[in-house]
Amino acid sequence: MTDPTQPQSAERMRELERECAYLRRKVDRLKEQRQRQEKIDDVNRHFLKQTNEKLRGFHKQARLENLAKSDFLANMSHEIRTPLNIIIGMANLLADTPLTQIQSQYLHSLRITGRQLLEILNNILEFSRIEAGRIEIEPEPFSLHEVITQIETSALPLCLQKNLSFSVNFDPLLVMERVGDQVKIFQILLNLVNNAVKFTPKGTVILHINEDYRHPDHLVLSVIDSGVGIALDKQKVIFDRFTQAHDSLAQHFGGTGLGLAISKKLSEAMGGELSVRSAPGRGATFSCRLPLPTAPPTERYLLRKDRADVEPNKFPSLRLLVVDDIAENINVIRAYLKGYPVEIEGAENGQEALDWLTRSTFNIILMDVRMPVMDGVTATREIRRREEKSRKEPAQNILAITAHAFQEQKAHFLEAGFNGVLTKPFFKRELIQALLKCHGDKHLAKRPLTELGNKAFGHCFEQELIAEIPENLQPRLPEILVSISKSLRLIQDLFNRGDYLALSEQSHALKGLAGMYGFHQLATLLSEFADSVLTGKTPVAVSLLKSLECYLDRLQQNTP
Amino acid sequence: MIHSAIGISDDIDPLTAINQIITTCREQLGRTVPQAGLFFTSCMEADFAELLQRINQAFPNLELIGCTTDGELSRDTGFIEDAFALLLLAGDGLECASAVARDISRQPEESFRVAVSEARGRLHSAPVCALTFPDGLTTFDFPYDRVFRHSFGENFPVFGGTAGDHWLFTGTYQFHRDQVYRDAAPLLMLAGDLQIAHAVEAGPVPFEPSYPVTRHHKNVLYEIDGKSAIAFHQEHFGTIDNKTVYFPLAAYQEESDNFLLRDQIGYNHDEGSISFLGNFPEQCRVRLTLVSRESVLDAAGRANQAVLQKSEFTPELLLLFPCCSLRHVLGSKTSEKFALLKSGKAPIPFFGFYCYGELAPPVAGTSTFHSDTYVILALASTRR
Repeated sequence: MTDPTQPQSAERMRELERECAYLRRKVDRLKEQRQRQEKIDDVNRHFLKQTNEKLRGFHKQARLENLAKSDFLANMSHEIRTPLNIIIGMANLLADTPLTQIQSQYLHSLRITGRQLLEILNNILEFSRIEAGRIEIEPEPFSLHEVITQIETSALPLCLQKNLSFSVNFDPLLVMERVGDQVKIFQILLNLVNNAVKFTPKGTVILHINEDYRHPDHLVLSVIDSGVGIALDKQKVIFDRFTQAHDSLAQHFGGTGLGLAISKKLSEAMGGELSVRSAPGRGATFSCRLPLPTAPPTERYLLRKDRADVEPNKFPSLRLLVVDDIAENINVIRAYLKGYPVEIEGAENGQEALDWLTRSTFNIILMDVRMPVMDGVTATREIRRREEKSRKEPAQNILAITAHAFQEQKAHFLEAGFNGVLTKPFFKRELIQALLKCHGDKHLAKRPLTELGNKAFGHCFEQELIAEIPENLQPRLPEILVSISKSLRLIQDLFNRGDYLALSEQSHALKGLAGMYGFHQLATLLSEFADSVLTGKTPVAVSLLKSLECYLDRLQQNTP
Repeated sequence: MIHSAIGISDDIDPLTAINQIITTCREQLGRTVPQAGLFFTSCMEADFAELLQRINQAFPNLELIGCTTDGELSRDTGFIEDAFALLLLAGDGLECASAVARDISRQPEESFRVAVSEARGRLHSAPVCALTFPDGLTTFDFPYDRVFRHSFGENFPVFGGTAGDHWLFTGTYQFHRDQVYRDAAPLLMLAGDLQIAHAVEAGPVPFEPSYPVTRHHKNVLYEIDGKSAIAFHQEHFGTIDNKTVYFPLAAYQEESDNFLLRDQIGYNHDEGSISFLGNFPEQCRVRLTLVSRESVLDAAGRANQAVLQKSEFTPELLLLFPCCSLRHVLGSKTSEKFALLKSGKAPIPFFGFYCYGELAPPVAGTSTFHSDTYVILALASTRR
């Protein structure tokens, strides 16, 4: 008897075998495809690697070419700035001489166009640096008053020429001593103001400064004009390089179309932003929002002191040696310092400067860098070498005068032995400040502590030279620091309780103590704090209280 | 109107598969008697004569041509391999005549001249186009341009692709009626109430600068840019092996932006030369190409769009002849390139195979040999 299920099983087996064969074939095809894909991937990876290598090569080549371009621009800068310095300086000197009305008009135009040319040159140089990725932000304590003065000096002549009114607005309670890159901020504002003047046929240009209350330590620097305004679609492109919103006006007024692009890049590099609000026929407001924290109390004191010390009667008597192969440059410096108690000798090159030093002494040498016979860098190195050999103290103050605008070149000069760098073309105020700074730093550092008496306590503490306090005074220091700390804590407490009368008395008492022991920064802070409280300038008082708290922290760190 | 029936099966048993296909086609045709048929298979272990006999028994007097391939394709299956595929055609006012050119590698012009003459002699009206599927392994340096011009006449449109052997490279087969051939080219001439449109698009994208071909003969490059072809290849691909077979060179005739793609098929280290699939134009320049799935899908998309949306008629049947390298590059995405063809409201049947080289006029003019392209041919009756 046969099993009726057997044929069905055999058929089922054959069916399964066919299905297995079918699936095996599919699996084989998938394997083949995977191998093909791996081959394709291998070649694509090779192409990618090769392309990356080429890109790296192109990048390197582009970087080298960019450096060559920067070097070329640096040289151009020197070649153009040197004669431009003479032209502007001479024009400024000429303005102080008796002139006819028509001569005054001509000279006025000459000075304005000279400055415009300088700005264009600065913009091109700056943008080439930005393009090369060489923006270096150097935050330092500075005074916004200083920036405003520079902007006013630059903008007022242009506004007068177009019969525009120019004004600067800021809250009188605003702390003007800030930490930021003063040069870059000036550059941004100058570009914005020049832009506003260019596109405002009549009306006003206003520089407005206020705190950004949404972001602590941020300021908003706005330039507001009543000019032709900018359409919304153009507002998107005006920050692109070589772009101007009003092509016809731009042709009329000229310019490189780089100003706003540079300003935007600089704002961003400083952690801020630049924006515009405008409508055609309704003027424009360019707002630069920047992080600019208030300067520490010590620096605020020094900045205010700097601003006060520029009058000739407060200027120290100095003997200067000006070394420059171009006689007109020496004459410009003589003219700038006219009326100041300064004696000036001239030398044509580095060798002549060395000769002068063998027979005379100078407080400061102003040394041009590029000169025939012996350049300024070689002469300075030689002066430093001689000082080292003779162990001469104090070292000679030498300021480099150069048209080289780039930071790396300045660093090179400092490394060569210069004490500072004054970039051409410079103005009278910059020269005065540079001389004061150069002379003052040394002067302060070299005062003998023994001459200070009790004031050595505060002087050494505030200069962070506690170890140098004379031995006979050292044992009294802890007692003084504890006493000041206690008083400061009491002042804090009185302020928080709103007892302003008691606060005023306590501040006055502590100020007396601080003055007696030479704590000058503390005395200044206390004086300003008490004034702010009594005159109701609460935001300023709060800011100063923070500074006093920092001071208290320092005291406590140094109190055993 | 063109009537078509398509049957495809990848059954593991060839005879089972062919029976399924015949049944499917009969169901689709109803009472319509097919005039011509195209038969493709990438299953290389079948008894092809037996299969052809069965088709001819089922559909007597059929003008049947076909070949072995690197994969088949249809609307229902998309890409499929190890399969058998049959397309049957009939049309009101459509004329079809088939013939076969034999020993094509030894006597290219004469074999085609005889075959074309034979097919044309059986037509009552002027031919509209021809389909042909020559051996893909005996024709690396075949002078297609010259042969087509002499056999079919200037600017006559010839379409198709060269026969493959499912990437085994041991031998391809061509089919005509119930006969199996090697080193042959079956051809089918279509005439009567028929209109056509076509598109050819390249998958790989040329990149990098162009380099002059400083010495070559037919399909062999000896020197490129003053260096031996092997040295050039080594410099740019970093290797000399079959990995680079999917990265053709783009060959440009002087002063032209049009290019032909050429795949390398062999290296002669003694001569420093490289053999390619297809001849190079005289005084040409070459560029490397980038190959990606995106560029291949783009190419297919462009060709499909050109034929579907820019043709002056609505196609009734689409014949596709894509290069096998495109499916190798696409892998699992192979069927994506037919997305547009499937997206229309009215289903247009399409049918074709993956070939070792494609045959079509570049845009217009005499047909030529392509590589790494996607060729699409739209057919419709002029009597609707």
